[in-house]
Amino acid sequence: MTGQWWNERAGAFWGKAGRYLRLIGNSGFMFALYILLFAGAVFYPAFLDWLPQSPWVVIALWLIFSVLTLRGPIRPFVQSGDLVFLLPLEKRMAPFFKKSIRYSAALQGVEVLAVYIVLGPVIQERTAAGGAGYIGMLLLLLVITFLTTFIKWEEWKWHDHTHRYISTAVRWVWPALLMLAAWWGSIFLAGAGLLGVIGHWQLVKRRSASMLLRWEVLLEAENHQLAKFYRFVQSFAEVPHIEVKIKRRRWLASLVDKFTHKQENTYLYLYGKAFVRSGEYAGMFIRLLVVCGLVMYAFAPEWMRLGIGGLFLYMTAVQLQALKSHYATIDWPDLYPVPLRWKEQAFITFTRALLMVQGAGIILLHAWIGQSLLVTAALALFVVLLLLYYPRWVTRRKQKEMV
Amino acid sequence: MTALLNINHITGGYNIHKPVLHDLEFDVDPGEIVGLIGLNGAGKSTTIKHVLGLMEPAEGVIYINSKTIHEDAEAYRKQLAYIPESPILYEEMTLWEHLRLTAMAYGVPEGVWEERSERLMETYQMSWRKNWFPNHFSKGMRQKVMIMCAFLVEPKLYVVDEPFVGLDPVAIKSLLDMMVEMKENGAGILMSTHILATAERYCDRFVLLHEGRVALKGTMKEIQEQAGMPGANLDDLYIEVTKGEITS
Repeated sequence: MTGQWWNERAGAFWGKAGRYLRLIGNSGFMFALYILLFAGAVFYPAFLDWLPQSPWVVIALWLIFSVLTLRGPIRPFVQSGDLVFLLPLEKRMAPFFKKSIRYSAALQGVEVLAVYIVLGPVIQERTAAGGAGYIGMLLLLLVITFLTTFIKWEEWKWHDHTHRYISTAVRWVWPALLMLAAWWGSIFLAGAGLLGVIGHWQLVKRRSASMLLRWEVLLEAENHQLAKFYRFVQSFAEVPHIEVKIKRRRWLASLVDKFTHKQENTYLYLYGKAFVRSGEYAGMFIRLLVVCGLVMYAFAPEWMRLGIGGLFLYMTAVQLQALKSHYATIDWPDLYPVPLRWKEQAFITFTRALLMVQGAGIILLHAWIGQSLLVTAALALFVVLLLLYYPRWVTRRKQKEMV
Repeated sequence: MTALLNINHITGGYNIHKPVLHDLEFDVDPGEIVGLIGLNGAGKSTTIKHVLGLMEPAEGVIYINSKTIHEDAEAYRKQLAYIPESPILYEEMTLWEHLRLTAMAYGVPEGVWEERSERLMETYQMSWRKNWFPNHFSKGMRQKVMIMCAFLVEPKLYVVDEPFVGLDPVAIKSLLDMMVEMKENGAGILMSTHILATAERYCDRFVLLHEGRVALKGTMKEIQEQAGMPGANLDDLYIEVTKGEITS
């Protein structure tokens, strides 16, 4: 029966996730992915030629596959209510959790498979794992991934930190043996890696045979995994039920504290703290500047760089508008004895100052990357014009929203 | 003496065709605590939302010091501070920043707000949590932030909705002491609560609501007389009101 519950929960999640993924597919993300794949295909042979003939390549491979096989995030599919209602059924939950572990391992396996295929040419060229060895090595990596997920599950039951640390450290040995096996072409070492991980799994299982599940750890893992998925989705679409992470950002936040203590600055203070600490406002702002620099660097024609600079500044302006409704669900700003028009003014003043900083950043980037001072000057002119027109643009948008 | 808060024949609710409040009428004077008592759904929180200006009455007017919110919204709001039933906090602000923002919004001058804040944090044993974010606060601590913000402003009128939920006994005592102190300094307090024994001890007058109507109002003695139950305590009066047989 509990296995049936698992199917229902996973089905419900995938129903929801499917709708979000479709939304992402339609958002231009797929296009960006194609471009990335295309660029990768173009540059990959050059990268292979450049890659030096050294043991460091094997060490890098070991690190990559160790992280991939050992990370094994487990999605237990528990809910907060389970801590009350399912606790008495713990002994009968085995089919449920077995499905959770297999599901998590399978997802991780897909990740390993994808990276293995991408790195295939490196593995075949730089190690002894060619032909049948190449497939064999992949299978062994997948086995390690699966067993590691089971090992991790058992470790979760332990209260004792020391044993958990030791077990975690030991897990790194098995992929290392595989990589050495691939480097030297030694079947013996590969077999040792396989036997090692099976032995490890059996030991861990025996140790935790009589231990109870730690439900709170499971719930925490569940929330963490879900939040990770929703955070990814949030870069493309609005996710209503995501817990926004607050970052302290001491230095930036202290800049906001510099606003003079007077009633007129109430909303400036509010917007300032929200921008610095909440959601992804500050992250988005910096990312746009960095990407702008990269794109400018990639596209050589000067007139294109001018367009790119303008486009990214405009994109920043559009993204910043989200800040306006940041406090829409909280009553306090409506209760303060502060005129409503100050709120509007504060929003314009604050976001305009941010755009000025972004504009200056983009101009500096162009001065550094570009070759034409005339285009830099044109970009500066564009920034000034946008800043002048900005208040009217915000008011117009507001009127349009009202209609 | 003009009333500090005058609720003048208010009818209102979420839907104009189905009002929750029916012709409410009562006052809060300076220097008194008025208890707003009623069952869940009797209309206490809706009354409070009308006082705050978050809801508009379909009929009737609310005055604070003879001014309506439409005459001068800022002057109206400046005179009151609100402690909500469920704490509403800015997740991206620390305790200290909540206090600073409140001081800014209500025009509490620099120098004054810091001194008051330090005192409040000490009273509510929150000094060492000064730089904490709300997501690390328990329900009671969140409520303490609300209380501190309200008392930081030192307004003429306090509107307090179920303030004791989740508070520890020391904090409840501090809150009550502070309310008495503010009352003695001339402030008026409208407090909705279910803790009747506390209400009976601390409130000067009572408004008992039932199904959106004032069932009884006045001092303890007056409501006993209105109910025809001399010597009855607030619990008994309240139970009697909920039977729906007493209407003013």
